[in-house]
Amino acid sequence: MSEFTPEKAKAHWAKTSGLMWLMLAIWFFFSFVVHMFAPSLNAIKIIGFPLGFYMAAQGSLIAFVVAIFWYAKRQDAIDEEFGVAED
Amino acid sequence: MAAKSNSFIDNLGKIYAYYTGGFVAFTIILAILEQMGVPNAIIGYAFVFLTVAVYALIGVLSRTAEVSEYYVAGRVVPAFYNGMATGADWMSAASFIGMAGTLYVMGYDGLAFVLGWTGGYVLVAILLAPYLRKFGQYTVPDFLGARFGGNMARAVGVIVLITASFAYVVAQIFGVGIIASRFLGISFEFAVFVGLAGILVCSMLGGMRAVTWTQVAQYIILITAYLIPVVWMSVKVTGVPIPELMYGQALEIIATKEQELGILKGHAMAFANAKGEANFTDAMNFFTLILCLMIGTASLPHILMRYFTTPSVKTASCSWQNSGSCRTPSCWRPRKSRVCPMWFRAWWPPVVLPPRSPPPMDCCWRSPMRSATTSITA
Repeated sequence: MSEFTPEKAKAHWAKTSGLMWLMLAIWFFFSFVVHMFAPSLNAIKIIGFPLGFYMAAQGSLIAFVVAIFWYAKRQDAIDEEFGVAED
Repeated sequence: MAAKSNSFIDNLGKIYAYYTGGFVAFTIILAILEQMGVPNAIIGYAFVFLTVAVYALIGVLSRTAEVSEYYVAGRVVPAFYNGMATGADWMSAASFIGMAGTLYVMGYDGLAFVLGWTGGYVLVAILLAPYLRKFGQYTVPDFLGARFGGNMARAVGVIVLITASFAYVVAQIFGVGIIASRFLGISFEFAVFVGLAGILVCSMLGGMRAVTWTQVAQYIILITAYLIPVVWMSVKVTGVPIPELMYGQALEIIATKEQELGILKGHAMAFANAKGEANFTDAMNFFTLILCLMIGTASLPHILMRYFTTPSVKTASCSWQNSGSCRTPSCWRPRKSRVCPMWFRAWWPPVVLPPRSPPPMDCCWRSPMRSATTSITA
């Protein structure tokens, strides 16, 4: 295992924080942006669901869960790259 | 003691499988008794007493005098089980009792609660859990004190945690009172204390260890209790046992009924006032409620505590690396060390805490992310 130097820590943090901001953007989009268009999205109906309602009831929640899984995987990849992964 | 707790962790799957089997058998027995004409009141008593007895048993079995067992469940909770316990936090008394009614009454506007709670876990996953887990101490104020230095940060943390949990606990205790008074047929004022006594038995002796393992047990019951009624209804209404896909049909029926009855504010209508027109105030209410619920969820101490209970960086890394600075006090007790260890500083842009010389080189640096985040999604 190579040493975890301050430079590497900085680079690692750059990547980690980049991922964090991306995740925050995804979070913001599915928390707020999508639902701002709910009244217009409600005009679209998919198997009975008005789309705006569906996004708040299930769509965003599914997006959250998928995003968290993806995030955990990405973070593991970053850690692997810098030799600081667990296990 | 260590050997005993290890064999418990190794057999978790088996233990909870037996438990689930016992739960199913108990439910079937109650159903049979009901068919045989046993009055509802007695079945209610049996249900409450047996479940509380199971949680109390777990609480008593988990009793411990060790600090790390009491506060962080010995840091041996596997990610999957931590996820179940976190799930039980989501499906707590307030959401279990209140959610269906809220959505029924408020329609689209009620979805802010679902969005807020779930989105709050995203914030926890990306901003808090990894760092708390990596820190490996006991409480969030510990973390704040160590990270930002001094008692000021700790005090602010304590105030925020107490404020957030006080509002939350009031709702939960109210729920406990309602349930206890309904099932036991006693007055609400008395039922609150009965419920609290039950909670005390379940959690006092074993601390976080007892709470974690009872919550895993509760998760199994809660998820069943959530799913069975909706699957049942879905089959009754549409003939397909997948409510997630089928309740669109129910929404359509509601929409036509609303038109027939001349109801202007539709169930699925977003940000609508009484006339059924979308307006700014309702939209603002919706989004600010989401924001509050998200930040509130992310500041609940009992949820944040969960991320101390997975195997921590300290144990994960130091147990197999016996050499070097891992053994030094600065690594073991960042709270008391004057020099902040390297791995600790690496979490935040280095400018916030400039390195003092010489930075102790680190063998403890590990990714904060894995168990903490996967446990949320489990």
